[in-house]
Amino acid sequence: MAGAGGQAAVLEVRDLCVELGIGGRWIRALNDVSLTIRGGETLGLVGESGSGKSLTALCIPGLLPGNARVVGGSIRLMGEEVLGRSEAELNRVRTRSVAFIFQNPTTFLNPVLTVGAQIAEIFDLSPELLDGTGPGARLSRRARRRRAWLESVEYLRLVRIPDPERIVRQYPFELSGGMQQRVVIAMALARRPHLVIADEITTSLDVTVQAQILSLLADLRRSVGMTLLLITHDMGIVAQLADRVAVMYSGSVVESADVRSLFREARHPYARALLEAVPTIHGSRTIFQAIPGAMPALSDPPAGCRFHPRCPRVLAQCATVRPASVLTGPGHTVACHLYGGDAA
Amino acid sequence: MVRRLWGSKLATGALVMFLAIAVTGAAAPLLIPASVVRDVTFSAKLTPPSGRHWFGTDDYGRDVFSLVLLAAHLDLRAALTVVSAALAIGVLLGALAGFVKRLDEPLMRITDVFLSIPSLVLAMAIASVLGRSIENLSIALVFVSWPIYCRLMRGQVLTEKEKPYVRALTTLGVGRTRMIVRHIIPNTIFPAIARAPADVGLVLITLAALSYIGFGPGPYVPEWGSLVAAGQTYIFQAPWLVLFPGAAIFLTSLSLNLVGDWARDVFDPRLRS
Amino acid sequence: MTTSPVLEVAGLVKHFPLRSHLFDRRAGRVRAVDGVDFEVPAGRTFGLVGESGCGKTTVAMLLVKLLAPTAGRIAFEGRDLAGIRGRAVREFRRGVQVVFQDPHGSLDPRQTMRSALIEPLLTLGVAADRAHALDRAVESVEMVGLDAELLRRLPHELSGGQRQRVVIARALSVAPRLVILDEPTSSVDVSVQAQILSLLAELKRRQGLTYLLISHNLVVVRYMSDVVAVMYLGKIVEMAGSATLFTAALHPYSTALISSIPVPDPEAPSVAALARGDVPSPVRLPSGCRYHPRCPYAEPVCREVDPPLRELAPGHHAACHFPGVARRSAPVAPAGRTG
Repeated sequence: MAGAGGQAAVLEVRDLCVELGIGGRWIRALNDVSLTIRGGETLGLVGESGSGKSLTALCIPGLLPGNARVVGGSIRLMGEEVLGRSEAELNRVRTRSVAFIFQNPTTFLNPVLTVGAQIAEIFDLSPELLDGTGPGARLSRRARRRRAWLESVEYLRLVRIPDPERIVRQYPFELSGGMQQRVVIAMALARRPHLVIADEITTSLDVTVQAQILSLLADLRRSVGMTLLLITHDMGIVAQLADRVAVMYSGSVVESADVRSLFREARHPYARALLEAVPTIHGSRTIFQAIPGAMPALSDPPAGCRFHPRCPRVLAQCATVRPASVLTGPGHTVACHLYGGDAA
Repeated sequence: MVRRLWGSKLATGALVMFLAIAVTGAAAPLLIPASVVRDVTFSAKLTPPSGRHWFGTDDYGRDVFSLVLLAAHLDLRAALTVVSAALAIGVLLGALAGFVKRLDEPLMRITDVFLSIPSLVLAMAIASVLGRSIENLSIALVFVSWPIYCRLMRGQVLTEKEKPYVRALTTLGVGRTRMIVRHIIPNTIFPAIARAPADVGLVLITLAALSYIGFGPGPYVPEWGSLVAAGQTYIFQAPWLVLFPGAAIFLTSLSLNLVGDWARDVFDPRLRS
Repeated sequence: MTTSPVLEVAGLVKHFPLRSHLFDRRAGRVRAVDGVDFEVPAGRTFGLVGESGCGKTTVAMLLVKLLAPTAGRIAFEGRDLAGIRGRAVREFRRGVQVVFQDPHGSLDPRQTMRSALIEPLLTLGVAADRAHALDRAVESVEMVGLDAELLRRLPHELSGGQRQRVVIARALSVAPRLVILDEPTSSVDVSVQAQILSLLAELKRRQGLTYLLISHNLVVVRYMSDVVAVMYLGKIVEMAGSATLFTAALHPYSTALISSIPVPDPEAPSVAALARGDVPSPVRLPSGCRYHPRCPYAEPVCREVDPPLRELAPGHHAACHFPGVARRSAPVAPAGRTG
């Protein structure tokens, strides 16, 4: 698999703890979240709504909402610690190291600038991206703009937008949702980031358009060697794109493994149940299992393991002790007392 | 809701102040005989504030404190009545305009006409026709105030009626009248209600302004604006004539604006999670 | 057992006029639904699938008389819906109910669940008075697996799954014969989705209901439906039994739609993006076959002639000049994971 294993870690999140201020209290929203992504690898971060996957992702470029605070752990991007940095330094991180793609491209794109202008803006902010003639060679302003325009067209071509010379002059509202999302992906790639974070980027798209975007991402992984943190609730997307998977439930990573191991032999009861709750159209399975109950509200979580009230294999200590993450096989961690998570 | 009020010290303070003024105004006719207005004692005219006359006396020798309090009663009652009436009319017409497409155009054009005339001018015009009593001025001010509520309500209703629950309720047999009265209005009325307190302050000032420019009910009807107007002539000799009624207008209007701001912030459905 | 179909739709058309637009001189029409025919047999589930702009939601609104058709006929239990008024409308509304997509939006945010459930029973004349209505409301709520204690709550005090159940209870409390489900699980999580679908299947069995299921989620449609119709830009392009459609679709769009679903199995070949370009808008329709700009198998005739919906096999209809072409040729887009 391209790039997986053996390469340096692009992203290392260790024991990240985040609290949210809701209704006057501080509520623990993320509990000891740990993730690692190596160069060229795609990590699928899976969970239902309320699991904390988007919150985890927002921590990386320091885009936490105003009522959130990090209370523990570390996030290292290319070996450098990101937490606790100043706003100016974080800005540099956001501009060059991490590209964040949101779910809704329409609200992300500036409606009064043409597509080309928005991609060119990236080169305005980081002129070093345009330097093709070696270090120290300074381009005149006109040359820079010409270069920026050409690069914009090339990036649009890279994301398979047909007729990019025409599209580059259009405004976002003139484009369909799928095209807009491609433009956003182009903008992300133009920064040549170390890490691309994609948060539910196909959820608002039609399924045939989603297929195109997924196929595009698959090709980009190979051709550009993209390192991707893919956040989704769709197990099908994970199966198709991810090298490794981390499953989140109510603020914790309950299981993480390479994609084949997870689908073949998920260990955590929630991960198992989630896989079984997904109906499949091609398999012989026509029934899918519901998981009784619902994810607990953050403000009033169960003690011990947060999944224990819904767990079909609950043990006595699950109600009191929160299980720690344990390595159960090469690259396969589970946070569950069934696999000895007693070292909490 | 009470808890949220405590959250904002400013709003709490403002509300307390307004209530104090309102209570005083309400109690005024009981404590002070109306005859004070005609209690002309030229020998006592223009005396500064003292133990006997807390706010001094005016050019007719009347106790300014009593006048200000009586005016409070009159002004507040008028302003509250005006805003309540304007709110009721505006909400009803606005709801109809928003919900019944055929009524929308004509109602909006009528609203436009009223909104395009400056409020003072409109009030003066109506007052000239009807006469200058407080009652007629109030009617004039209702004409001035209702269009804004109508507009507000119409906008809210237009959005609300497209919402999925309205569609769902239609398929469940809920007819138009019931829909407007039981569902749409309760869900859309808050922005209008939140605007009302500030509007009371505005009406108060307009009333005072009308009195000030001479459209008021005359020196024998105690009204803050006319008190200020009358006291203007003596502003250097007897500043208390302008100071106290002016302060009354200012404080009442200020407290109402603050409460109105708070109410709008708290009740804005968009800010609600 | 031959029973007449619960719902018959013939030549259904709905056009929305566009006021002349700044960018588009021709004051055109949005042809949201452009000639749709189908029948829903009693006791079955009929699935209607398509992507945004295909007209399926408009069909739903037409079927429950929230919109009036521009042309065509809708008959419920043999009676034409056109022009009915007053009491006939109320009777109709007792017979046909709809569960909309957004359970949060479908409930008046200021109404308690109790009030929300009692109201339709009174407005549609199902219950004689409030006491009866309350009894029935409690019954409905328990039927969908909720505790009657929830009745005193407001919508925002319930979870998404609970709200969806309440909305279902409300629709079923009037004892309809046909229930239209518009994207019933799109707003809920995967784990809750399974619960809701099981509940719907159970209720259908118990009450002998007929369902019209509208969804863009093919997997859900496959699970629940007996017959499926695929819509594209206002028309039905294929209609067949559920199993047949998902294994032997004839129209290239159906094939593209089915192949677009990412399979939750890392070993499966990756999704083949068989449809090119974007989902078009129903304002500017392509000439000839509406799908031709996106179809990898389009021929000149496809640009000129709009193929009619024809029965190509018993119970299997398709509107294509080259039905089955997608299966005969290799997929056009690259497939398969590396490694």
